[in-house]
Amino acid sequence: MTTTANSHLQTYDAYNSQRGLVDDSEFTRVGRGTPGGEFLRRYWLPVAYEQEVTDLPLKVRVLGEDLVVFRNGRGEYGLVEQRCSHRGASLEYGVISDEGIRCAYHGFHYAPDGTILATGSGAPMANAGKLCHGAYPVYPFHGLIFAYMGPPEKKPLFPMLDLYNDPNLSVEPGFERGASWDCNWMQINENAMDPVHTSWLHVVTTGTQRGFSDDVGIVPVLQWVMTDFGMQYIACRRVNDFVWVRVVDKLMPTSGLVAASDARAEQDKFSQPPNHCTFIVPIDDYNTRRLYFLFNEHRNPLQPVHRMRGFAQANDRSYEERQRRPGDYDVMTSQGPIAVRQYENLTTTDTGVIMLRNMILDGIRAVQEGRDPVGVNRDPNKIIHTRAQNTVLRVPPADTPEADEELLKELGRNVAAGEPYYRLQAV
Amino acid sequence: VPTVVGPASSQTHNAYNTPRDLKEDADLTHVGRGTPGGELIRRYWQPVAYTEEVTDLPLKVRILGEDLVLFRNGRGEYGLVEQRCSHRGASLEYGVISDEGIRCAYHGFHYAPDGTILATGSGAPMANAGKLCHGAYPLRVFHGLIFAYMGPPEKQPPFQMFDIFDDPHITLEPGRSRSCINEANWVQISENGMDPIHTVWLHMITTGAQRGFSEEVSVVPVMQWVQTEAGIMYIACRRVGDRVWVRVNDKFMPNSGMIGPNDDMGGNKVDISQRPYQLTWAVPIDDVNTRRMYLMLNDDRNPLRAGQRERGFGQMNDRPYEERQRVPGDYDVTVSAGPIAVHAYENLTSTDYGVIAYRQTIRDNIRAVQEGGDPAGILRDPNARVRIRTQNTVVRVPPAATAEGDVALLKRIGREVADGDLLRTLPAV
Repeated sequence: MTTTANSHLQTYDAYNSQRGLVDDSEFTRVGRGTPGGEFLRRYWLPVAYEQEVTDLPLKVRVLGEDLVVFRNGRGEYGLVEQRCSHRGASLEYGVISDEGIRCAYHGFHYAPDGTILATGSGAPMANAGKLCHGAYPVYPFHGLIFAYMGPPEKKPLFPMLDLYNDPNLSVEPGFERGASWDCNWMQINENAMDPVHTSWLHVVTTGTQRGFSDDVGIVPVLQWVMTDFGMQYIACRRVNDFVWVRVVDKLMPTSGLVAASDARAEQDKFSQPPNHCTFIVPIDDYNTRRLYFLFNEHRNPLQPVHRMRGFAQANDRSYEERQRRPGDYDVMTSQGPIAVRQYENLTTTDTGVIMLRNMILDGIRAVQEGRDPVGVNRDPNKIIHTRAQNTVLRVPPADTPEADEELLKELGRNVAAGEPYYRLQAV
Repeated sequence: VPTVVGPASSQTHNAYNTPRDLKEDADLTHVGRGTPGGELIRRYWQPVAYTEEVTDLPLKVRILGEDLVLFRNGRGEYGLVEQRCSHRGASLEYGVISDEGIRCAYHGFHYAPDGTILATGSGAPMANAGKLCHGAYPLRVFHGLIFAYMGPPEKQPPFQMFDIFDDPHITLEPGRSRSCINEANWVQISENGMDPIHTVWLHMITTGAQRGFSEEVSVVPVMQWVQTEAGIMYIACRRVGDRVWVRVNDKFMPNSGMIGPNDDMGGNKVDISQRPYQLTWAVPIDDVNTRRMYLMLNDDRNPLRAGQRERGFGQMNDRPYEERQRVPGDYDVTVSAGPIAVHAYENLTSTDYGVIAYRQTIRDNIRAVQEGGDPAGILRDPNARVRIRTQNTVVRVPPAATAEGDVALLKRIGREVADGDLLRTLPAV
C-alpha cells in the first residue's frame, strides 16, 4: 500500500512536520457535480424516518441540498426543494393538503412529484404547465423514507436484501439509535471496514465498552473480500477450543450490516444474524447522519440496549468523560471536519480502509464513464445475498500458531462463502 | 407579463436537473458604500435609532454595513461617528461622553459630534493636527427617531416631509415597540409591502385570519400598481356587497412605505377614509440583516389602538419553531427565502407585478444616481412635501351587471380614489 507520511527521522522534530495539506480526495465532497456527490446520487439513500414526518413539513438537508419532506392527505410522501419555485419562501412553512403541499406565502401548490397543481392566487405563470417544482422520488420502506437524488434516467431499482424477506426476522426502523455527526461521511464509512479498532478502542484502550464482550479484545485474524454489492470483512478469533467468525457486510455506497458485538465464543454452532443495518447519509460535506434498520430475530429478540443509541455514538457526553473513555464519535470526528488522508501512515491492518476507498474510487470512475457502479441493480428478480453474522464453532487449535492462523482463515472464508449459519440452523 | 426564469424543469421528479448556484442580484440588493444599491440608499435620510435608545452610554449601531457609534453629548447634541477611533482603532462604544463630544477610553482622543478632533488625548500633537476629522454623519432628530444622511455631503437633501405631517389631526410618535430585526436582505422585506395578494393568502387563507386582519381581507382584490412621484403605490379594491373598499398603500424610494390598518374597514359605514397609521422603513443593517423602524401617525379622530403600537403578528423570530410552522407570518416566509433571495430562481405571475415594478423602480433610481441626478422623492425645496395616497376608503357603489364589468368598475373607482381628494375630505371614521 502507498504510505504517505508525516513521520520523521528525528526526535523532537515537529517543527519540520508537513503542514497545510488539504483534503484532495475525490470521494469526500457530496455536492451535485462533485465526483463523490455524483457517485452517491446513483443509490437510494434514506432521508428520514417515517415517524419524524408529522402533519407538518420536515426540513431536511441531504448531500448539501435543502429539502422538505411531507406526507400529503392521501398518505403519499414527497421530497421537494425547500424554496418555493414562485418567490423562494421555505416550504417548511407550507400547508399540507390532500394532494400535496401549498406554500404559505401565496398558495403555490405542489404534488409530491413536483407537479404544480395551482399557482396560488390563480394568476397563471408564463410557463404554466411546462414547469415542475424540483422533487425527488421516494420509497418508504419499513419506517425509513428512501430517496433517489440522481439523474432520473439512471434511477436504479430499490436494493432488496434477503434479510428483508427472511422469515426468521422482522425489520424495524432504528430511530432511537440515529444521530448526526459533525464530520465528513467517508471517515465514518471507513470505520466499518476497520475491525481492529474494535479490539483497541472498544476493549483494550480503556476497558470493555457497553455493547462489546471481552472476547472482542482478542485481536482477530483478518480478511477482506470483495462482494457483488460491496465488500466484507471476516474477523476470526480463537477463544480456547472455539472460533468466533464475525462477518460484516458493507453495501455500496454507505450501508453496513453488523451483528451484535457482545457475543461470546463459548458455544458450538452458535450463530446470529446482523441486528442492524446502518446507513451513513451525508448531510453536507461536514455533517453526516446515521440512520438504522434493526433486525429482530424471533428466536433471540432484540434487547432494549440494541434499540438504544450505542455507547459514544453521538456528542452526548461531557468532554472529560469523552477524554477518559473515548468512543467511535470521539475518534472519528476528531480526525477533522474532513480527514486529510495525506497525513496518514497506514499499516497492514488498514487494508479494509484502503480497499473501501479504492472501491469507491472505482465507483466514481464507473459513473464518470457512464457505467453503473457496484451495487446498482437493474434486475427486478435479484436479491442481495448478505453474509453478515456472528458464528461460533468448536474447532480445536492447530499445532502451531502459524497453522492455526491458516486454519482460522480457511474457516472464515468458508463461513462467509456459504449460507449463513443462523439460517441453516433455523431451517 | 413578467419575465419568467426559474427551476425550469418540464419533468416531475427532476430536482437533480434544477439550476443551482444562481447568484443574487448584487446591484439591487447589496448595501455597501460603492455598490449601486448602497449608493442609492445613501441619498436618503435613514432612521438609525430611536432617541430613547440613546442613554448616557454610546450606542453601537450597524447601518448599511458600516459600524458606527451614536451618542448624545452633555449639551444634548447627537453624534454619529465611525466606530473605530482615528488614533489606534479602539471602539468608541467604550468612549466617555463629554459636554462637547466623546472621548476615546484608550488614549483620550476627543471628538465633536461632527467629527472635529477636539483634542489628541495625551496632549501630544498629531502630525496632521488641525487638518483631519474623525468620520461622522449628519443627523436629524424627528419625533423620537434619529435620522442620518450617509451619502456624499454635497448631495445632502432636505429632510423628507410628507403632506400628511401638516394635517392638524395627525400627531407623530416613534414606533419603537413595533420595531424588529429580520435576518435577510432589505429588498425582500420591503417588497412584501407591494405584494397585496400575499395578504389574502398568508394572512387569511393559509392558516386562518391572523391578528391585525379583518375578514374582508380574504376577498381577492382587484389590484393595480401605479408609479408615483416618490415611488409606487398599489390600489387594491374589494367588492363587499354594495360597498367598495379601496385600499391604497404607498412605497417610497428606496425603502420606506406608508400603510393603513388592515383590521378595520369601518364596520358598515361608507364614505369614510382612514389615514395611514404607520410610516415604516426597512433599514439595511448590512446585506443580510434588516431593521424595521416605525414612525406612528396618530389621528385624533381615530386614535391609535393599543395593538397598533405593538409589534405585529409574525414580524420577527419571537415564536417557537413549531408555532411558526403551524401559523407562519411575514417574517417566516420572507426570511426563509434566504439571506438574500435569488430572483433568478423565481417564477413570477401577474399578481407579482408590484414586486417587479418596485424592483424596476429601484433600478431606475440607481441609474438616476449613477447619472448624477437626484432619485425619486428627493425634493430640494425645503418647503416641498411628498404627496401620499395611502388610505382605506369605503364608498357605496352597487355592482356592475357582469363580473368583467365590475372588475373594470373597481379599477376605475380605485384610480379615482387614489388620485382624488377623498383622503383629505372624507371623515376618518
